Amino acid sequence: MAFSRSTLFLLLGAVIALLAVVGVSLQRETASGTGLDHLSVGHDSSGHESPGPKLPPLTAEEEAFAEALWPLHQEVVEASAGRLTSAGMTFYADDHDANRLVGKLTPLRQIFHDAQQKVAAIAVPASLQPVRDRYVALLVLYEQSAAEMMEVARDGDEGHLINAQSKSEHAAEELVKVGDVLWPGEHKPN
Amino acid sequence: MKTMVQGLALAGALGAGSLALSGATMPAQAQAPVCSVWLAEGGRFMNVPMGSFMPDRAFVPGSDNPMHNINLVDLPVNIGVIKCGNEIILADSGWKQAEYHKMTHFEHFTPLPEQLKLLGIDSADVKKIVIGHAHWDHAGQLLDFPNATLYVQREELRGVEWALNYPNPHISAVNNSPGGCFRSPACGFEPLTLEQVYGKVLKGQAVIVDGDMEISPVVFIHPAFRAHTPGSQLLEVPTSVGKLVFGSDAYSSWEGIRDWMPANIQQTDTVQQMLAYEKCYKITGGYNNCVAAHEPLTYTDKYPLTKNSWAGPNGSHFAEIALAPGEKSRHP
Repeated sequence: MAFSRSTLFLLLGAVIALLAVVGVSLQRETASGTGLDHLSVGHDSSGHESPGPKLPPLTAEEEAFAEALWPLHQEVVEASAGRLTSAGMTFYADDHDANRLVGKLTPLRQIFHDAQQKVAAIAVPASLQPVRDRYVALLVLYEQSAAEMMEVARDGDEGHLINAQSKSEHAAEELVKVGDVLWPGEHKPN
Repeated sequence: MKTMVQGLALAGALGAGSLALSGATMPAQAQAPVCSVWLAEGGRFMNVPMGSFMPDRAFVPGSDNPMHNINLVDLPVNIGVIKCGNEIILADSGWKQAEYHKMTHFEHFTPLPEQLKLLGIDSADVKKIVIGHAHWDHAGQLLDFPNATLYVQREELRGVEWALNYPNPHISAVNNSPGGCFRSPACGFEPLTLEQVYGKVLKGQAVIVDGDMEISPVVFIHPAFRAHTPGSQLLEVPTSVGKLVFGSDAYSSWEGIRDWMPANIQQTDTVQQMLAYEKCYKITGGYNNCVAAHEPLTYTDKYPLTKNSWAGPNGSHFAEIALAPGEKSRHP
């Protein structure tokens, strides 16, 4: 638009240019709308597709396993997973304090280690055995990730963080997938 | 009559003055770079209670008051696609975790790289991603953009670290509890999302921003701390329709900005959210060019900035907001 007006200045002279400016202003005013037509929701509701295939409901035995695992998952594992990642990010991007990093990771490593045994101790129906195995495996990954990150304090090589992050990222992906089987609806939008 | 003549004379004088000024400034304006901007709908949260989105507009059964007669709304997840010269910038990156979609009444998801392809953009060409905040529905899909540099506020990372480690478990609670996360300070910072942000940081593909920053000529980040999360940020982009400000969830609702009402309160200080609204008014001269992340009216005439819209894959939408000189329209 500015280019057009500039061209008009050159070609058509002052009076026509002023008219063009007035015209542009009027056009913008018109385009801005009145602001009074907001009082009803008008989103396009056409073309909505049905949600994806729903998972079959869990059996009573499966529900019992999911319920038994839930407190550990919700109160311990998910929170610890976020703390592990955040600890690494804070170290790398903010404080570079290796001792502080180790101070955060030592209890987290233990949490993931202990959680493996707690999950293994929960009675599981055969149908969910693979799910439980995946859950234990992701806990192992988190434990390994914590251990690898702590190596930074030993030799100062921040390459450990990259190796550790590949493990924790895979574990986080698994956490979502396993959670989808056991607790559909556990996450809410923000 | 005399007055009229005087008035015309004055108008002529003002016009001449304006002409002189315009003549002096127009060349610079003509050369000022502007960007092309599109919106891509990453998906849509279905049937969200209006009162949980905008508390001041909570539904009252039987009410004919337009403020209170909407029960449920569908909230789009809007992603800004910005092209400045040859540089592609994203404002937010939506979310990807397919498993979450089934959990959250989320529909019309299409992978962002596929959407960009329909806009004629290769995901490998995306150079910068500015996340308005690090919640999982705005900072997903980062790994699909291997050449992109992430921009995130240091204040956001510190806020996450503080919240997740707060000793009171009610305050450090993450948001996977049935029924919602109850807006705890740690709500929305899911492990996988944090991993993707962390991955960018470790690979040297992240800029940790402290407040304001010019990320490319004429494109600016502005802090909006606590307007939605601890380190929320805005993105100012010049276009042929004036400056735009992308607000992510500091601007969840365009109607909220227009009517000065808080929306989508999470880790939100409503005072800071209103100051973020004011920032858009100051930068753009009004509310029309504030780009909201979840405005239900997006892609309709009722949100004029986004009215030039069309249907995308899987029931999603696109909108063409502005084109730089020489840029071709993507509207089919």
